Amino acid sequence: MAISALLNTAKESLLSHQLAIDVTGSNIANVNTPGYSRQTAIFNSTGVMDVRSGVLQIGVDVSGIERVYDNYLESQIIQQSQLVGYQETKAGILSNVETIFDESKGGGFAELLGRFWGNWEDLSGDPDGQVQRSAVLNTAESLAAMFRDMSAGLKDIRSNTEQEISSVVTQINSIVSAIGDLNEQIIGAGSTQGNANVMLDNRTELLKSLGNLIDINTVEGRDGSIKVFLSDGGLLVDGTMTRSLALESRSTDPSVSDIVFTDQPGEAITNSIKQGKLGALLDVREEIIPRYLGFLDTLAKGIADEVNAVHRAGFDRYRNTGINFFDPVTKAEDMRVNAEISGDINRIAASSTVLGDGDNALKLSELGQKQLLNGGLSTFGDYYTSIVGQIGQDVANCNWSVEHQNNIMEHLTNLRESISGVSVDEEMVKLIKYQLGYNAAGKLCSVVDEMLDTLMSIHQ
Amino acid sequence: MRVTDNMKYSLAIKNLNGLQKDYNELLEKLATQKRINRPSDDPAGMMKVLDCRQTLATIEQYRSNIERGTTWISATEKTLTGIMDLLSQVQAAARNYGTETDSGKLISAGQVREIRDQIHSLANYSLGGSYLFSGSLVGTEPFSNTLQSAHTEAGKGAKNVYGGTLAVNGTYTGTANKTYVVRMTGSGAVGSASYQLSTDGGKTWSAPSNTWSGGDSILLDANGTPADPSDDLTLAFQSGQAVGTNDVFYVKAYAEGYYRGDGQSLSLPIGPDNTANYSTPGEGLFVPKGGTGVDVFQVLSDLITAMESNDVAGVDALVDDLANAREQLELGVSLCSTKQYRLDMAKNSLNRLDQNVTNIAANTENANVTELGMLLSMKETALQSTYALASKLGENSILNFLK
Repeated sequence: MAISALLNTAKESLLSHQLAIDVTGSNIANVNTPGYSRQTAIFNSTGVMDVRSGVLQIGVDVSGIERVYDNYLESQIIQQSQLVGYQETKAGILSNVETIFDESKGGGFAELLGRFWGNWEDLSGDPDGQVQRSAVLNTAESLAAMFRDMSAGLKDIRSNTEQEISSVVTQINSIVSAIGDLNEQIIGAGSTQGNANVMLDNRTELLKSLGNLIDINTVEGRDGSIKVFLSDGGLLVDGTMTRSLALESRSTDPSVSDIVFTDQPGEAITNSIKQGKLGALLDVREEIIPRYLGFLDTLAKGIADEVNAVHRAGFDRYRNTGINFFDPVTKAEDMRVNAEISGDINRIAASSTVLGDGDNALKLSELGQKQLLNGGLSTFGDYYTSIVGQIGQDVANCNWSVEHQNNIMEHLTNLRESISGVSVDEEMVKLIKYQLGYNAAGKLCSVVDEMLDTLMSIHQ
Repeated sequence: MRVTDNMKYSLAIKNLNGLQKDYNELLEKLATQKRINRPSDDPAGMMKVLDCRQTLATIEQYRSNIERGTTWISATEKTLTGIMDLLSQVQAAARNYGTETDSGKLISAGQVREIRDQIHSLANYSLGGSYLFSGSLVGTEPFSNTLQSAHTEAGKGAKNVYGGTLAVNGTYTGTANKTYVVRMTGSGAVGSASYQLSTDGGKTWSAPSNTWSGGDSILLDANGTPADPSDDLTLAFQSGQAVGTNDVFYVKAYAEGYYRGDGQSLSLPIGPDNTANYSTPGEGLFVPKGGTGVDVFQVLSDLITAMESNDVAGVDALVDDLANAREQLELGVSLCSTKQYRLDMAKNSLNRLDQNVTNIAANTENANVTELGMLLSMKETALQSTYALASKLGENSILNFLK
């Protein structure tokens, strides 16, 4: 083997070890970069020389810089991020709902409802009493106001959800566009080293962020690009081609928007979005808040209807009959005391006869003990208690789910970190190893140089 | 398994966050002394607490009703006892009348007249604006001063559409007071609008009808012979007037006598499915009920007449009636005791229930402060250990050994 070849070997070794040190340096620099996958220089022997005793490898180069990652684990994390995004968003919104129905400190709706029935009972003992009549009216107006406030609170949450949906759709479109750009760059890089590794890491992080927002599935292409689908198969990204989402007013309810693809207006995909932050927001908007509003509306209508039926049969201080106590309602947001009653407490029909007894007030007070809702199984108080219990259970379930999903995510993240994460200790040891190799290659250069000097001195 | 630096730091952060969260929850429970600070803390517990609160509020209402009933019964008992004392004086005067001189008889007659007026005043006693002895007609003064012949009074709702006059035709021949009510079920002209009739003041109603008598009258009561409508009780409207839906017209019909109330007792709920009568109507106490009993005011009036006309035999004949009248009132006083006993029993039962429900609510809702204190101390120790561990995370590294 010629001395020049030896020098070449030394040179290749120096360059290879220097590159390996560069890669190690890159790993150390990115120890805290989220989503960074450690890289490893792959050393490869080059060239052969036949000698009498066998084949001798005479060179080395770095054939590639390998990105250490587990594809299946990454896709599991993307899937898990959808569940985490869904539960965390839902838990956040439901905790706001819970504050509307928080009865833990007393002085809330339940107490007010009890006072309402009690005021009627007090009036029955003194049907002409102005103090008792005022008490009935004041409590009734407070009750009606509380119905309106609770309904408005739920609707505010729903309205905020609508705004949040708009924001999330914008985020999704931005991420999808970024993924498309990265796909283009990755295809253009044509290899899996250097910048391409960093772009792959960035793309994976974007996919996790996208998964946190909406339920997706991914398929990797041979050219390194990735296809992203919605759960119903709708294509979001195909190589460099991307599709964006948009909001379209619903014809049956203009206050609410459906999700559509920008290039397919009129075809709503709202119902197919089930996970991620967007899935949670849609669930809250379409099912959860309307369900709670429905409970409240049933309670308001029940109270108004039953109280009105008894009130209409009774007589007021003018010896007149037939007027409602509450305005007839189907929704809690419309709950109001009849303006005739608000304007004149003597129109409260406390009597069952024209003779000024208090029996009708007594009948009204007894409505609080009658099982008039839930097919005759619940009193009004029981029904409200079950609403509070339902909401409490929903929030508790959600909180448990958040903890559970976060634990799974943490486990997966730890696994990923174990495989792809940078260990400073490990990189330091590698640094020593590559430094030693570099030093050895440098020594080889010195030896070759001495050998050349020796050759030159022979000639002289 | 490779363990990277990020894994160590993530674990430390997770543990710290978890411990802080638990610590915070314990602090909240200690501050509020409650284990349920929001429905999601214990949904089933929250429902139980709300049920308990509802029950306690209902118990409080029942206790308030019992107090009201007790006040009423106490007033009734004192009033009746006072009347009985006065009646005893009348009985003594009646027994001694025959032995009195002429002037003494006149004095006795005057005293009995005064006592009768006092009894009348006591019988019309009102408590907080409600008359004790008028039955369910608490706004109506129960006893007139003089014997009333059968008569009727017509009236209408103050908010009626109808602006015309009303008149009652016919004579009421019933033996007990009654109130008729006509309620218009549709608007229209007098003589054609549909209506419903009640004979119990408005509690129950007939089926809607648009049959008018003589074009502008509504038949309230057919008296005597059905074939002779001239003695029927009718309510006459002014022709040409319009009536509105739910317009109310009423006729109070009084039988001959002193009493203007009814025979209904007032009642109040004093427990679940437990209603107690607490009032004693004048009917059956001061005047006959169902044809049985003594009319106290009639007896006193007859006595005064006999005394003022020096009718010894007449006075003697009324001594038994006076005794019966006193017995009637004595029975009323005994009934008060019985009613009060029932209220007292209900109150005791409610007190026991209150205690039980309060205990259930407290056991569900309240935090065990001692246990919380111990847990808090344990969490503090765990937190401090985690802080110490986290502070040492970067200490052991190969970097410490490299030149």
